[in-house]
Amino acid sequence: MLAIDGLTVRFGGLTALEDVSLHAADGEVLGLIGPNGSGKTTLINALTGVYPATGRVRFRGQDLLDLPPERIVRLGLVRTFQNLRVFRRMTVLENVLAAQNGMTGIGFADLIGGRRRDAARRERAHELVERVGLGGDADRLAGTLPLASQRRLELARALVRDPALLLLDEPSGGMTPAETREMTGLIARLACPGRTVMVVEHKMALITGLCTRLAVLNFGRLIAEGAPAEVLRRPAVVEAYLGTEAPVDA
Amino acid sequence: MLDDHLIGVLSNMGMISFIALSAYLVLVVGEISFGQQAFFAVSAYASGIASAMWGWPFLAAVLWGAAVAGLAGLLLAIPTLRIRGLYFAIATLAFAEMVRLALEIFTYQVEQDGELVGPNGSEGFRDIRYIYEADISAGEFLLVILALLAATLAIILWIERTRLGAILRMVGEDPVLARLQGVNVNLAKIATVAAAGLVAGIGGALYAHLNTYVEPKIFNVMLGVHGLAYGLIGGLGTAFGPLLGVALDIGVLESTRAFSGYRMIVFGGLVAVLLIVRPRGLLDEAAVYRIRRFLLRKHAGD
Repeated sequence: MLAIDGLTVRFGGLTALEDVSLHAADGEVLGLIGPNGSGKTTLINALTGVYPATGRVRFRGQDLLDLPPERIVRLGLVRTFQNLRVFRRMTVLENVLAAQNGMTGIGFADLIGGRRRDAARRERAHELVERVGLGGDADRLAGTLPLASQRRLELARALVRDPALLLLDEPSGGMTPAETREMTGLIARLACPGRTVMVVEHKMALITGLCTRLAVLNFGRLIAEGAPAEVLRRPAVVEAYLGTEAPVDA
Repeated sequence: MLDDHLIGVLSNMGMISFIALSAYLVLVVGEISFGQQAFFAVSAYASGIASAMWGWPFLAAVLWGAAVAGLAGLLLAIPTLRIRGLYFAIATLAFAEMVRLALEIFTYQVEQDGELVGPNGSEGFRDIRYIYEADISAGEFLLVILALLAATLAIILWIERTRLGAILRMVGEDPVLARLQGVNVNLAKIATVAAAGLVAGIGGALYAHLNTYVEPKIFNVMLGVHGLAYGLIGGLGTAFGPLLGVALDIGVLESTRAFSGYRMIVFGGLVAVLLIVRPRGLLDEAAVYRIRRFLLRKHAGD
């Protein structure tokens, strides 16, 4: 499904990601964790074509690194944002409708075809807005939604393209424990044959509850990969999160 | 019937509306242009040449002028694709000044009935005589202006309701996010700037034929600044916004002479105040949204 090989991202003299190799299998929920600044979001940005990177990324048999962002999205690799990004001046429904751009089967006639031509897509957008629990807010301007609802909107917007790989960047960021539980439940139902989910998170409950596999980044390098329970016990991971034990002087 | 003064004011409002709509289109995709007057100028000359020198019929000349202006838009859009914000604004300004200065030295005249006809550098382009030859009154010409304006407005309003309109607004609000929704942002921007050139071009062609005479200095930066300001005053939430801006400035401030000599000061102050309290104008997206809801509810109530 996704094979990352030797991915490196440099900003001038700073190496944000160094030689990261990682794969994701069809239908799994892969957790990506690591301390702040370890390169998790950078990895997502590199995969989606926002940052230039070197190395090799293959997604469903296609090389991604030379493609512009809009082409990568059209291949079925869709992301959400850690720092919420919705079209604030458009309604919730319009945000989801708009996300269906550049999908196969949408020609120029659809571009200028008005509402009737859009009926099927409108229905689908409505369905997804309902599914993430925003049914009552479909006609609200997205910028007026509370934060947790904007995260759900991002999820609906990503799902409307029926992505093969969904990259979720801190989907529960800024949420209350109750909202986090709901979001966890939503995400749990997303992975299926034909859809892989890769989730960046800090909340351990969400990670351990969802992920079938974990990858850990620290200072731009991959330091561990494997089953969640086992990975979280590894000394290198504990060290990355909690620091080394202070030497006890006698 | 309308008196001459009123016909003159309405004609002016109609023609400047094309520049306002043109600047508005660029604003919708998130860029500021101080150079839309260039397309107005290009079309004024191109359409004038077509009708006065090549003997083309009026409507063909207008379409030709608009097409040339659209091409000029394409010419501006491609090299400026990678620049944003302030830099794009300065590039448009520079482009418009280049066009104006080029017209100052552009001479292309032919002899007709023993007289030289055609653009003659800074002397301008006289004798675009269509309106006399066809014996069209100012009132009739006003109807032509309004008909073309209504058609242009209808097309823009239609596009705003379609998927294409949504794409343009996405590009304007957050181009990176738009790309990540599968939008080809470069294509959207190039097409919009070219279309904006075309729209300004319709106005320019009408201007040349109504006044029968154009000269380069008419197309200075103040024309573009006004066109830009109309959208910023009237609002960027709908194509009615820039028209509201035109109506407020020309319709109220200028024609009533309410502030006589102080008009430009009042106008400038109005722009400044609105940029602070309503950065996207009177009819901004939120206002349009509320109006639409209100109309829908009323419709449902009937």
